[in-house]
Amino acid sequence: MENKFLILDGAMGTMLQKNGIKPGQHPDVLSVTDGELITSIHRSYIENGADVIYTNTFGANEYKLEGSGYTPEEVISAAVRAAKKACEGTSTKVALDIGPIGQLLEPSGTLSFEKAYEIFKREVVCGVENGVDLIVFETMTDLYEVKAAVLAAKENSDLPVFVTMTYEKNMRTFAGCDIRSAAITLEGLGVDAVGINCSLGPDDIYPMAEELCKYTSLPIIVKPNAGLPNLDKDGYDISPEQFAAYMEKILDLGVTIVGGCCGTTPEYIKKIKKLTEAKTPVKRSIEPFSAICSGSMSVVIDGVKIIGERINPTGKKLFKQALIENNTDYILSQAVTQTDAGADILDVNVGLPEIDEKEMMVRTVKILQAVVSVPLQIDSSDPEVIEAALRVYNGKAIVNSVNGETAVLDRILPIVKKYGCSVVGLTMDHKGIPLLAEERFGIAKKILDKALAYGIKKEDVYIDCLTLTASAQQKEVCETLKAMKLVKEKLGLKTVLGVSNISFGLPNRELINHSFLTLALAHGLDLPIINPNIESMTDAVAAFNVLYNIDKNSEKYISKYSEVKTVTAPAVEMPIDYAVLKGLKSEARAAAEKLLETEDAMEIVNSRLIPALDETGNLFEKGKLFLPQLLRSAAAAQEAFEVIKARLSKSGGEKLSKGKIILATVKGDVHDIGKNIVKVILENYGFDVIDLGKDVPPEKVVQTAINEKVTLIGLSALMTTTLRSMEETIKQLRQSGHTCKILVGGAVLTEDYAMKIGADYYAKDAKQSADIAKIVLGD
Amino acid sequence: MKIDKSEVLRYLGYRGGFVEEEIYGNIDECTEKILKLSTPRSTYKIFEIDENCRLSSSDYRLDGEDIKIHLRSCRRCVLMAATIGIGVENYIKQLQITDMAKAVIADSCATAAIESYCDEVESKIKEAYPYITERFSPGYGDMPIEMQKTFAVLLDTPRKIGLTVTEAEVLLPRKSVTAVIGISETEIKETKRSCESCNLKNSCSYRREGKNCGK
Repeated sequence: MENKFLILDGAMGTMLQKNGIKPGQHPDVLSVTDGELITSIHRSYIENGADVIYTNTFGANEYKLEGSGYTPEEVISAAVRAAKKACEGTSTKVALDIGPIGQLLEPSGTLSFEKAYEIFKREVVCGVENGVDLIVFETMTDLYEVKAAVLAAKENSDLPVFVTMTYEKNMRTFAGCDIRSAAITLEGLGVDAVGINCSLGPDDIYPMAEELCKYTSLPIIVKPNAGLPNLDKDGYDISPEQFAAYMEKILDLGVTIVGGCCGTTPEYIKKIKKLTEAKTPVKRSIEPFSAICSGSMSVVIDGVKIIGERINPTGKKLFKQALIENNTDYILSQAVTQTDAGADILDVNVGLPEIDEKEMMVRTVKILQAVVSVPLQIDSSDPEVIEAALRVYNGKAIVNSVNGETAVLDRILPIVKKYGCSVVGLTMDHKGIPLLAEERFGIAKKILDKALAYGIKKEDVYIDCLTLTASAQQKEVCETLKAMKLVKEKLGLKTVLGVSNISFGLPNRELINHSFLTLALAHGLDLPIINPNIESMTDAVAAFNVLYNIDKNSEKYISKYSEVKTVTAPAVEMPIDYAVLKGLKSEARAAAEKLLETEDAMEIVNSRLIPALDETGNLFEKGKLFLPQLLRSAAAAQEAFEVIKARLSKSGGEKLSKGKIILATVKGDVHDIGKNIVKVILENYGFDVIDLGKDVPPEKVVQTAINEKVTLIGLSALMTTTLRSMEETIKQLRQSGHTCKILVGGAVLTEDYAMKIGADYYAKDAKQSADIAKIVLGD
Repeated sequence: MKIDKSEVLRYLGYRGGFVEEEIYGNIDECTEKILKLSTPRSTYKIFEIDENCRLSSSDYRLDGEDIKIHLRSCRRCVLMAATIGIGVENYIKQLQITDMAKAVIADSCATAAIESYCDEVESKIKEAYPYITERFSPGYGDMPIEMQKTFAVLLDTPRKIGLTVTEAEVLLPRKSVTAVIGISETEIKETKRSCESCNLKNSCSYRREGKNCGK
């Protein structure tokens, strides 16, 4: 395939429309009911020059075929038969055409990654059994769905895999995936060719092809539509001649695999074939580069990039507590605050002996990539945890870490290679951390050689020369810096370093950390692992970028620092109930601190905070306050609560919790803002909320209720269609024999219907939920 | 496409009274952000319909009695679908972690945006067809919500505008609308539908206040 052109076919759908297929009819079914027609369409493409034909199976998955009366197996085998018949006597190959499933994957949708994999696997297995020559995934928009597809293909066949995605004019897919992230991820997953198809004509696709050519050395596929659909009549607006003219420019970019999508006919393929006969393929080469990505954002390591270190339980009591209690809100808030503070990448470590690390890591990766767009660094020493995380990760991650121990390298590098990610190598081994720079360099070289032997590119190997503490090993501080310089100059690898360790045991830790970071940057550090919330650390990076001529004309520096810092006025003293009513967070906090000087913590909660919340709730019910005001009050009350909780935990006093409540949006439903509002209000009143999220299976609600001994469960549904799930959940709770009260809410519910489906209470809004909780769990 | 502040306030349940400066500030900020993150896309197709609301040259029809009444003076109709895209979703999700008050404001801004966009699409349709009915969506009156899948298939919305329908008939991205609009040759006399036939008649928040949704 290397230095030849490969001609694909043109549209099947367009040809079927010409042959009378009705709107809404499933085109793939025609392979079964009218195989001859399909074969004849294939034949006309082959006669006009196609080297590869795509089977008529774009929508032949179990989801799209539901209700058609046919199974994927029936449709795919008929389609492959029809295609092979057309190929008889020619050298044309048959590609199994697999399009998107048609359902949005988690986290925005309700289709799980694992289920998507199974759906694709079924199609792949059938295609392979019927003897296709290669597998093509086309018109994809979601990089996560593409991952499930490619894994399904690579784990269930040895055939070549092509992947083309479809982009809008803004160079992103509907799901927000950009061309560079697609290129990086797909090359890592080991596909044989990548490209672009559908949505637009070759004129609009040209800049996208140009972009793609910069980021991959794989063969590139371009399969455009015949322009855009005509507004005033059927058909598309680019003729075969114009199409070929535009395609010529695309071929000149070094693209070697070409065809046509919607609106094209055998005539278009004939013109492309003629074009390639008169040309020789342009050889492409790209500058190798280091990069990782999420499903929608890629980070190229072409300068200092900050890795946020805060998602790590080591030395963090609150974090450990959150992990043990399954409080994912804490992890999410750490993620958002770090990215807001300037982290380019987030390190994720959930290793605690008290919990199931693998389960926690998979869950954490999934919830993080649902909310933040930055790429992640998977931090674990357990290969099973690493593999499980990489499998569900959307994009190309960093694995932290391997070291110089041969056993470790042999265990983890194959996983890195399979999932196409980057890997951090620590310059230590079973003997510990060598003192001298040259020794650490030696280990770095060993790690690099091993990685190359496993087929991992050197651009994907990052070296961490390890930071010891200056107080215990002052001489070795320089060795770390020296080692980093050696690795950079002699091996040309990117460097990583966790900086905060350096100051352990010394006063004014921030000063030592900041200074060490600056020195490290000067010695070639690319990826500092720091707490980005500490300004002096991000300041060090900003200043470095100016002094090393990276931030040209100090533009970023000037815009960051020349803003006049608004002096936040000190919190005005005021009664706590007024602060809550007005939604003033700092004032509420200050009021709580002041009250704690003279009053008992629980007294403050019960006779001041709770009544203030009740008053706010009442005003809301009466329409005197509206939703944002209620929530601002809730946030202010929460500030006061934090102060009081901290005091209680310090004095070893009773915990504030008034009881546990489970909240869940039922299976099939994805609306959760209402439920989240209820959560905020309930937490205000001192209840511990176990938030199971959205699209929650009934079994999970039951399991959690039993395991956590929860006696009040709140269910939310917003659609008439998901009321069934609510009913089912209630039924299973009752059947389990677990004693509990069930509270339901949601725009589509009424008091009557709630009782009908077996609930104990109906709440029309958040305030009522709190009132009911007080009754059920109250003193 | 624009975001009307009074619409945003309405979605947030505002009924008059004092509003803090900071909240107005948040509305402005979210308005700007939502407009920036939106990628409005729409698609539509014209079908001929008979008295049973069967859609020409396809095996599909529009279900329910109310739609027949709504389209009684029409021989043709437009099936439309519109979305402001998935870009706003992450923004709203992130806000729910750090600032719930701002999150509900952003969510309401996004709702105002999709409604405004639908009005724009409708105006474009009106340029070509001067006599059209109001929009009628799955879930209105007795049109089953299950009709969402019909729109997705007939308009090929996943491929054309990235709009999908879940098993539970939820449109994703969330801020999306599907609707049928009747085309008439002559001016249409509007009849208000009654609440009686609506699926949501017992739980409707307008009804609770003695009002109706105007449809």
